[in-house]
Amino acid sequence: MYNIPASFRKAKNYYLSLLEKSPRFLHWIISPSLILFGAFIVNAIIILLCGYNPFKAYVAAFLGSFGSPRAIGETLVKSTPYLMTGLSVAIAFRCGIWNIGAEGQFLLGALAATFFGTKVATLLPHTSWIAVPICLLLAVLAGGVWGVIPAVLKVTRGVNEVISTIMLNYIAIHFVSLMIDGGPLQEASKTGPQSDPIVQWVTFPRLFDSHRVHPGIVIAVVLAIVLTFALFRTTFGYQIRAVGEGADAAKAAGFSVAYNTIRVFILSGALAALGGAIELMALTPRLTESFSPGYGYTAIAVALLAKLHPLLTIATALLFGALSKGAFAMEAEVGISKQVTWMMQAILLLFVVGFGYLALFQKHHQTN
Amino acid sequence: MDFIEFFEDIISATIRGATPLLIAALGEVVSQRAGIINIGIEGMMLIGALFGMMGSFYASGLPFVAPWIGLLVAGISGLVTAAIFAYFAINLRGDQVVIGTAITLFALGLTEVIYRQLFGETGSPQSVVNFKEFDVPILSQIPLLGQAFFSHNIVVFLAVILVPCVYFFLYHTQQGLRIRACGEHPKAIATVGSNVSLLRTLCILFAGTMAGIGGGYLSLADVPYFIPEMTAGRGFIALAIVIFGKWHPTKVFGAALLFGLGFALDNRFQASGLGIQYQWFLMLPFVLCLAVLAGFVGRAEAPLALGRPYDPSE
Repeated sequence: MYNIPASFRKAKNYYLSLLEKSPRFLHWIISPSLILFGAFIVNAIIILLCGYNPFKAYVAAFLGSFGSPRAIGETLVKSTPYLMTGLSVAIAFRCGIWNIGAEGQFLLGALAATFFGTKVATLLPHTSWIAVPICLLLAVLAGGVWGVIPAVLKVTRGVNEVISTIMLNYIAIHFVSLMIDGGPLQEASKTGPQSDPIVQWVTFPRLFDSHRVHPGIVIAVVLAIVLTFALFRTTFGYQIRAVGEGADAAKAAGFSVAYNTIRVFILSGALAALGGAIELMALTPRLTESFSPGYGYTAIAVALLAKLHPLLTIATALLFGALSKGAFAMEAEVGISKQVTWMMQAILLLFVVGFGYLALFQKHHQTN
Repeated sequence: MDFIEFFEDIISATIRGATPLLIAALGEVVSQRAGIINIGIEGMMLIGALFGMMGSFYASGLPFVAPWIGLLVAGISGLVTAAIFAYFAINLRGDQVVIGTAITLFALGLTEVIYRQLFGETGSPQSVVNFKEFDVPILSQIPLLGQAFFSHNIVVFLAVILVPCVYFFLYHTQQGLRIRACGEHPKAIATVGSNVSLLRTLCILFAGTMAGIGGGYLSLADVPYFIPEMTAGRGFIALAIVIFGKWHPTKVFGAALLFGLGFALDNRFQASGLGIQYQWFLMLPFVLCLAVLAGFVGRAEAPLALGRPYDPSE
């Protein structure tokens, strides 16, 4: 019988030897591309087994996400939440913090923006130049608070952040529901489980008339560049990476693991929350219970595929944006459920883990 | 509704709601005791729910055994999913959190794609033969509480019987001791000649089977059909139950009942139109779980080697 585990091991060894031979700067491109390629093939096989034509599906997805200026614009729009939550996860994982809580932090950011946009903004001058920054700041605060809880629990009580952030995700989901379904943020007419739309001067304008491209995309890309600089060119970033590569080494170098854990958790929470606020302010003026289709979990795939590098995260976020945009075209033209993208993300993640793509984090996971 | 009727109703709903959580959580207890944190439990439940329904659907010619076949298929589908998990977590020593997330995402996609392909998306969900409630002879005739406690489908009783079984296995057998040692100090148990990788793999497979059956309960006993994303976070709740139950089967039983009560109250309060918002009840278990973890409500010690891949060559 054909031995699948053995051939997988062979493929892995071949991949590792290929990496060894190639120049170092190419690693950033080679390994994600290979993993992507492998995942696309496995996904195609599963699509085939489910009774669809994978070739047709991929072509439809590609044309749907990059086939026209309009489609490209929409892909960019869809990429933004992935980029923001991806950055949030990347920065946390870099520090050895397993923040699975981007989902909850994303929601809390959107909730803060909703609160500001429906209740507070009307009391302030009706100009975007004042309202938008305050709104974003409030979201950052909310995300920071949601990030500091698991951080403090981890530092003072030794609570595993994987578990605590999952719990906090559910608390956030139910808290959002509490607020918009029967709570103070529900729409004034009390008909459905959703908020009122945020007022016009808290929303982002569209950059073009024809599609939904908005300034939030620019904010996200700028943040990715700033984070890259911070991570690799400042002592702040050096401390984060040192702690991530080993708590003992960091301690020996005189860096406080506790202090870095707390500030990185706050930063990570703030980034995800900012993503939630941007999504709300730019696209959906109302907060609903289905506001996030699991951005926070997909973000883990986005960040890991980008090798936790903020710049590369731009590329992987774009890929995931294209996948989710392309999935609509796939559903329309081939009939396959658009949730197939989840499968794709999962296979990508398994490849990332299986190929020892991030040996670093297998070694230093959960060093309390 | 008079008070006694309301009380009976709450107890009955609590038990029904707790059962799938209990089944999945018992599997998770064993795997976490062996040092494996299986976040993929949510995905395994979802896959179990779909395949359980499909099993019963295709066996509908045999109405008497159809739900049993469904439950069997649900268990097997969970087992197969767990085998993927085990391969990546044990053989390739990948990070369990990432693999678990991947499994859950995979299940979300796969179940939707298969369900839509087989049953389409329009109209009401496909109904299948499900487990029927039955009255336990004599016991269900006890006044006041008989109906609430002893009028359920058979899986409920099986799940309750499973609690002492898992307890006995973990605490009173040699294999149970070895498994617990795997989760605390795998090196030590390897030194005395046990195969850590094998033990952990078996525990993952057991957890996967249980999660699959727990998921199958949802589409075979709770309701007689499957709808996409029907687990709605129950896998993660089972994870919370394991912690809340301090990694101990009998305490996990208590924790599952508490979470089941949360669900039951939630539904009743949604219907009753009282002043309290039902979401508080949904949120409470997770808050309690955090409190337990933080040691505010009794200290819980996680297995020492939880989540750490074991490398025999080290």
